[in-house]
Amino acid sequence: MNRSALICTLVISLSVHSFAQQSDTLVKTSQDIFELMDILNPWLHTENPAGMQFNPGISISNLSLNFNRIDGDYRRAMDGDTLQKYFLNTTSYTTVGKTMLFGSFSYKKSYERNCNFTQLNDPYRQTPYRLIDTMQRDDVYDREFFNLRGGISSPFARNFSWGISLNMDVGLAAQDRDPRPRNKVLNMDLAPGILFTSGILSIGINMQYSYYNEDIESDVIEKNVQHAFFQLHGLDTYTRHVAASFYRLYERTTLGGEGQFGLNTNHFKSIMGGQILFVDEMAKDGRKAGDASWSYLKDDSRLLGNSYRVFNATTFNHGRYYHHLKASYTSNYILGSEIIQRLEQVGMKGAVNWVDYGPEEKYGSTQTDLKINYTFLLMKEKYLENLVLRLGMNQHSLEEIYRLPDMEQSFSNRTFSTSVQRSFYMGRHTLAIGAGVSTRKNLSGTLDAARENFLTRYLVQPDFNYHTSDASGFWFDAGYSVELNRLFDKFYAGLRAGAYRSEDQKERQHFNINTGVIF
Amino acid sequence: MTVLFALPSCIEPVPDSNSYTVHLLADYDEDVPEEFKDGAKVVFSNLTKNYSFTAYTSDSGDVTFEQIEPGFYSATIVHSFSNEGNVYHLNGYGLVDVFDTVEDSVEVVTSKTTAWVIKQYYYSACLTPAGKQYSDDQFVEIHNNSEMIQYADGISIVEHESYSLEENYWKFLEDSAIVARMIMTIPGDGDDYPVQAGESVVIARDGINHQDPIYGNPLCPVNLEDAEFEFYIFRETGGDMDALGADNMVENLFTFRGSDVVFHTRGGSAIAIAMIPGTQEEKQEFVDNHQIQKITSSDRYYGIVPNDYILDAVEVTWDEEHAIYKRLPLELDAGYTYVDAGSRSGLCVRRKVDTIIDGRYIYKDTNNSIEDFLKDVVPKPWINE
Repeated sequence: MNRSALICTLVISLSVHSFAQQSDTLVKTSQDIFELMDILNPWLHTENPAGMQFNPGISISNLSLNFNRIDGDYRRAMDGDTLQKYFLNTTSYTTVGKTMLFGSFSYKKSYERNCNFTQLNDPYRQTPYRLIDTMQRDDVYDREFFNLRGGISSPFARNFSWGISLNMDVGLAAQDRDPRPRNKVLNMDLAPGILFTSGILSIGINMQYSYYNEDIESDVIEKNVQHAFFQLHGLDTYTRHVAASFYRLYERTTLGGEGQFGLNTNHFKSIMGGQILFVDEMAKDGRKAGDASWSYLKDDSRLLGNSYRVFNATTFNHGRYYHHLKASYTSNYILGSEIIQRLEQVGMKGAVNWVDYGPEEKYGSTQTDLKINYTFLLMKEKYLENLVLRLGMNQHSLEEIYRLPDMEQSFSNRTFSTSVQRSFYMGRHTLAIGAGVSTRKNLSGTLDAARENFLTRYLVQPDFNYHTSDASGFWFDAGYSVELNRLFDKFYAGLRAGAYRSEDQKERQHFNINTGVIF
Repeated sequence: MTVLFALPSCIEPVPDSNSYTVHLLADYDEDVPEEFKDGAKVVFSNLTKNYSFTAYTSDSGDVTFEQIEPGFYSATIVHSFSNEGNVYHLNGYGLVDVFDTVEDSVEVVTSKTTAWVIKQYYYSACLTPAGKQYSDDQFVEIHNNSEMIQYADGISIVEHESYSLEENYWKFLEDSAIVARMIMTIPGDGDDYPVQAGESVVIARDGINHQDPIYGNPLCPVNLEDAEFEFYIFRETGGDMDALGADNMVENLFTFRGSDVVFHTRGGSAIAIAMIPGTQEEKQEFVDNHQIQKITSSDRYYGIVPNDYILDAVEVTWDEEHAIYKRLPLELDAGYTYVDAGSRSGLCVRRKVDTIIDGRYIYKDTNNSIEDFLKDVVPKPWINE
């Protein structure tokens, strides 16, 4: 990592902490406080930053280093065999008078090996319009991403609070085998909101705006060689070009909002709400031949979508006991259009351009997600966990259709999970151990492809098999922390290891190790 | 809460896609008897998505395609029949834009076949170990497709003027002639170069062993030291190799005269073989007296070669998208072909084998390169397969 970025990270983290007006060095906390926050304040499940007004009035920061490794053959077609991630993160909640502040900075470096075909940073980003090649050459996708998140909330009138939050991801991804893409990715989310509180009732509303941009430049470094680039249009349809380089730009704009209604007492906090989002994305292509001065630029496709989400998050506490129930239902609808176009001579001088003849709707998908999670907490002290028990259920379904040729794919899965974590306190030292299991059951699956081609064999069918296979997994984790007297409040380290196995005996192992300090 | 779950989507995730019916009529010559109009093979190809539908014409010569998505298509018609001891090949080609129900006709012409065919055309070039382009190994192989001995004397290799990057400038001539940027002729006075039935001759850019590690390229797919002929361009400053084993082609016309004949490696060079009547001197006189200029270029002269003199032709294009800039008229080549793997791939296009009679290979010649040629094959001069 860039040394200056690391120094800036540390300076920012320490500065945020030093500007806090409330010192919480006498409040005992652990790294789990960051997971506890949304149990203590269910408003953090919403997109309304004004809800930070209900945060517990503590100032706490975390600086951590993480290493994560995933490998195994139970994966989607364009996932790598192995994924290694290193990331540095600093997160901070701060209270300044009545103003609540949140900030987070992350640096992530990852290497994904043998991710074949994909030219996209995230080939499963909910778009059928992907760019691939067919060179399976043990590629390594090298990614470096920075994330900056921040939020502020403050009262501005009697009973009213306002808030605004910003999330920004920027990064670069690149492969090391021809045709090698370089992906410049930018994602920005902005959410301003307001909150009205009267007694135990709260009503909030916020707007959401997101902009996503992925700029892909793919080059063939080997001289005088060309490769075929395939532009996918859904299921097993595609167009292709043979060239020494290819250029694609994705631009997605999301606009919407959310409304919330909450009840807040000393022992009972509940919030329910609904969100609507509208999505518009274009994929644009340009192809520049190696030594030619011309380029053929064209619009490839357009995605329109909307998504609905309704949710409820409730926390009930009685003394040291906390019960937290969270439920949400999300449905995403997407309609994809291909741009009909042709290469034509324009004008008298022989310039050649792609000329658009209009969009044609070809692809549609519906995706639904139902999640219900229950968490039971037995606290040792206000912010120190003793026992955590989690139960969860997730039902996910996807339906895709393509017209002419007619094709469709659908599946539905239900996943149950449970985990338990116990903490042991020995003076300044704390030991935590935990374990969990999950099981996924496929409820239905249909794949009706129009024709057998290489996309069906290498992408569509393997991904369908992955999504419709039953699977189960387990994990265990262990953590250690010790209270410190100088500069930092607590040092911690932990690890988690686990595996998933499908019914056809494919496996995926994951391992995570982390360490950090609380201050 | 129940009401919220029942909310419909603003975006209807079921695509409202259009589909149309395309009805095509094969527009035959008057000479084609009624009883032979049915059964013509019609290939309806989407030019953007690389898929096609195949159907056969009815008794009245028409065919219908249903459930066609909007876009740009080509219709290729291929038909053969025997009548009174003669074999006739018919070809038709047309571009069809589908944005509504289509009723259209495709002109079908009767094309002739001759004893000679272009059997193999290697233009894509290859790479050296250093990753540089090596195109000295380009060649054209012409084959005696008849059952009798033929003489290669006087056969001209003709390269079309256009590189198929734009509309054919010479479309106004296509009923009578093609326009060439290069005409090179096999020497001889009529019986110097016999070619047995089922045998071939190779006209190489350079008639050397291109696989030689010092003078050639060890990665080259071909050894052309046995080439019967080569394109040799004499210049005072040198440049082109004069292989002693290969007889030099006679240079009749070379508009953009460079240091050697170089075919466009991406597929821009459509070629033909022709027999201009007369002696070598008369052929030169014909070429000198049949030249034409473009309005946009006052100092370049191109050769006019009548369609009647053409023995065989291959419409080679860059790729599927550039096929809309087809140059050769239907009667010479109703289709097109190309090396899909692209330039520097070391691959070529080669004619399909139609039949083998007593060890003699007869190559398919319907005057439609879509039907007649294989794409992306390893060049193998003189090898019949």
